[in-house]
Amino acid sequence: MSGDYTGRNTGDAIGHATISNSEVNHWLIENIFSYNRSFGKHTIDFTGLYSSQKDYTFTNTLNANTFINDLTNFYNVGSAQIQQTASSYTQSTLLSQMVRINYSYAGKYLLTATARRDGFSGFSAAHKYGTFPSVALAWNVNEESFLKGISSISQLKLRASYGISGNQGVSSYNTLTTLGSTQYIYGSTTTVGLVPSAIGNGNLKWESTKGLNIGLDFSILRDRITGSIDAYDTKTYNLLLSRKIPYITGYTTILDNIGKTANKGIELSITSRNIRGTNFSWETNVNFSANRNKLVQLYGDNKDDITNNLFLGKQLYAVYDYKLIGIWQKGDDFTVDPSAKPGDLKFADLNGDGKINTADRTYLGSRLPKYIAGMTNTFRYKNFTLSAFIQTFQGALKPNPIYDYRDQAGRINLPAGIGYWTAANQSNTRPSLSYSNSRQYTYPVSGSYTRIKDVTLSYNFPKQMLEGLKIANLQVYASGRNIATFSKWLGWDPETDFYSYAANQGSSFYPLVATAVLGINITLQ
Amino acid sequence: MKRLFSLLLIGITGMLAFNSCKKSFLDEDIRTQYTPSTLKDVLSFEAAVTGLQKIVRDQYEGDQGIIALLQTGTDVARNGQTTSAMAPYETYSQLNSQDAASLSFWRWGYQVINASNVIIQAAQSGNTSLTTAQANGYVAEAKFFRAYAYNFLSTLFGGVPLITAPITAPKTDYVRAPLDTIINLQINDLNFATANLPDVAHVTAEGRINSAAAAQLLAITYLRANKPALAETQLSKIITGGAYKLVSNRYGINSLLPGDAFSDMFIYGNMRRSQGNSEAIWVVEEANIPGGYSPTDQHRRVWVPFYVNIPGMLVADSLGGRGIGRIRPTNWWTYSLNLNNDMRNSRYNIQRKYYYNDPASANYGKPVVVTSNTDTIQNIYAHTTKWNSYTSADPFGTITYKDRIYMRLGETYLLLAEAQFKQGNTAGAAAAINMLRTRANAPQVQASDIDMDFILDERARELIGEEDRRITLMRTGTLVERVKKYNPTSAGSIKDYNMLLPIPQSEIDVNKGAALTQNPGY
Repeated sequence: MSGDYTGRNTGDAIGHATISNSEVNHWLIENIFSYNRSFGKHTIDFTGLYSSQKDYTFTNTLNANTFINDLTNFYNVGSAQIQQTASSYTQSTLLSQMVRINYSYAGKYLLTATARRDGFSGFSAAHKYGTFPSVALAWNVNEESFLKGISSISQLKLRASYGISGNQGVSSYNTLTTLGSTQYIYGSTTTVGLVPSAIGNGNLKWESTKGLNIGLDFSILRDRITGSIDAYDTKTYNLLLSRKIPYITGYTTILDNIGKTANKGIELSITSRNIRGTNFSWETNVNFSANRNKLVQLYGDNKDDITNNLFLGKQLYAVYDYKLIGIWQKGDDFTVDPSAKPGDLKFADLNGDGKINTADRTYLGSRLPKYIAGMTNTFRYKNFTLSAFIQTFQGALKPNPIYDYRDQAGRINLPAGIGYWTAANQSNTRPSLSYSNSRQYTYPVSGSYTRIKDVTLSYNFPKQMLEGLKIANLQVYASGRNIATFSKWLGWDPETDFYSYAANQGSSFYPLVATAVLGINITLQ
Repeated sequence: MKRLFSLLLIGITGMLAFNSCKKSFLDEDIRTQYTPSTLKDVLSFEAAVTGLQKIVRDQYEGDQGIIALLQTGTDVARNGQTTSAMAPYETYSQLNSQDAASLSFWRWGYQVINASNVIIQAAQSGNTSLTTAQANGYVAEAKFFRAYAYNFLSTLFGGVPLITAPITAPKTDYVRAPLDTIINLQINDLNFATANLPDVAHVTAEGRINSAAAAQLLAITYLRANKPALAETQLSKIITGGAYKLVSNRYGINSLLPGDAFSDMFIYGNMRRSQGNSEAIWVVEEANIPGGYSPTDQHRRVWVPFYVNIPGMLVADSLGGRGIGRIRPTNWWTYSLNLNNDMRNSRYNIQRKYYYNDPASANYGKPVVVTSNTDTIQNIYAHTTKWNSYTSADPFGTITYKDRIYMRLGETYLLLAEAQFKQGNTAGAAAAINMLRTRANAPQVQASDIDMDFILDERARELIGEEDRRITLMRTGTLVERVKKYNPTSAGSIKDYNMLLPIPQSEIDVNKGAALTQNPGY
């Protein structure tokens, strides 16, 4: 249960109270059968599982407003002039059957084979169940006799797995067409009405991913360098996506299983203990991941789906727009775009038909990064520790609608120095303030950034100093978060994904905050 | 004993383990929403019609300027304070297939059509407890609103995809039906509606649609189909039926205050038939109570000038409440439309003069002096008082809680004049228009005065702020010529092809399986 009240002291002249109660139920029955046996160097482990699960949530909310004063807070909503109630219930069920065999030989060779079949209530009657087999192998190379003598290698493990996994990834009731309730009036009486609210998909089924993962865990040079490297090559079938459909249907979207994507990628994490002295040490941790994603197949008609932003052979989260080639200047030849005037954006006539129209839009890139990486350096001198964490996000193209908010000056903060086109300042990159963007251009620009995420300096008081004070640990620290960002992005923050005009005016549109923290950690004995 | 206990344990475990084996365990049981199979009895159909009317009421929701651009960029108005959606409706060269307003209109139209189709299909399923008469009544209401939506869409876009049943699976291969097909559907729907809807004396609630409204929409459809004689029949039926008559005397809540018969009709509290408005055929009711209004009804804000921008001016109920000046009437409407000796031009119906009203201002009580171009475009101009509204609880007022008169007898006479003129009966047309001019104490017109332009001028005098002017001009095929004649701001950019709007590009793109052909020029 939670309650909230805003009143006069927060600028709310009538007072608003909210009380909400949620009851979340979850039950799970698992029947597990397991058998294991070792003989000689062989170990076999067999597990069988049959489980059923039910989750249901019942929520009710009470909103009230127009109180005579703030005294009752949210404890007496009955004293408000207006009360509104709401409640909702959702339920889902899941059935699972699984068998798994683990086999290992002398701790060197490990094999796991799994087959599972899951049924989920949220899918359509004919497709509730999915079957997902997989097999995994591992080889502890450092257990081999030929590496036994080499003390600089303390761990070397090769892993590989191949299989299919399922993603249920949807909430309940998406297979059903629904009517929602609404309110209308006759005369001066509020009346309840029914309106079509969502279209169900009677063919909804599991999304599944089939693929190969290969990995290596290592620890070498007397544990000076440890880490792991993983590479994968997978294909995902029947992606569960909210798909836009023509407004002609009376609806806007339907949850649907769409196409096939391929993902290839690499992830690594390495820790290096560069200096290991008694008084001074320096440790570096680096992690890196890169993923290449490609839409392999769509509806089988070999055509892109522009509205849903899905382009065959291209990455997901596509940016599809006109190609900006500058700004129209006085004296230019406007034949190709007669609606333009000096100071308007100038787009490329990509299909060369002599006019700018929607056929000149193209796939420009993806909002997915080419790679992301992070590095943490930790220095320790006696009782002082200094650590710094830097992260970087590279190679994504992101729409930056802040360029389009000319008419919002004074209501949202616009970055200084956009340098709008004027007759005097003939910018070739920024439009004039009177540009009305009738082609709904989204201003895609590089979303790359590198950020000093955290720097912390701490001091741990020596134990012997603390003993008489019954204190186990005492640490003082100073830390700064989001201290600096290096990016060409204009506006609040390259990390924000803001597409909706309304959201930008709302309170959720809040920039990343740089913080400085001074702190003490005390552990009493 | 121990053995017995073990057996018991195994038994219970087994029951728990396999109770979920029943096939129904994974079936869904939706408890907080309804499904179309709910539509079985009178109460559920009442709710479905109520919901349909709610969707219909949200016709002008979306960008704040959407309601304004049905007036601006025409002969009667230009853009005042402009939103990005409004810009292409004044500078027509910018009107393209990515236009925001066309998409809003398209979406609204098909939402209404789908909701209507759900009702029609369910009522005709034979799987309800409705009597034949009840089923026909609900089908008639749904068909009226379906025709209303198709009329709006086909006036704006020409032929559009014809949908007469709800969809059950994603579909992306729609094609545009010929305009004739859409108009024929409207005629069939409306003939069914006029035959099966109750008249105004027998509707179950004042806000429910009646047979006269269906007859008027049918007449408009016949005019579009170039069948003026059939239109005249429908309109005469409304006029001679005796249920409606022009308001020619003071009435209602302000009848003892200064005003006139015409201005009385547009005061909240006077607008409905039960409140004395004997002209009201179709009024969309609003009130400041839950369910009583569209989420952002902008009527007052777009029509009333942004006079509070002028130093020395405060929000006043007598000036219409707080406006933001999106619709600036053209100079033609303001100065050249002949409104001499005409009640419709009284100070109660068109606010032309402004006086500083802030007692703290040095100029208090003196006439407002406009000093800049912006002042005359969005802050101070002559405006119709039809949308004046003010609530002391909310002087800033985002929403206009005011009834909307969608159809009244005044327009019936204007449509009758049009139908008669189209048949060469200018004398009849003059007589129809003189009914309105008599009520307005305005000089009479002669048969020789009547032509299409005169009828459109008379509509601008009688229906400003009520009719969607853009729709009227598109319906009569006069948008381009009248903009060139009366709206210098848009005269240079409007082209013949702007007589129709562009089919929304996102609809063309998402409709992958077939081509939704674009209108020429876009």
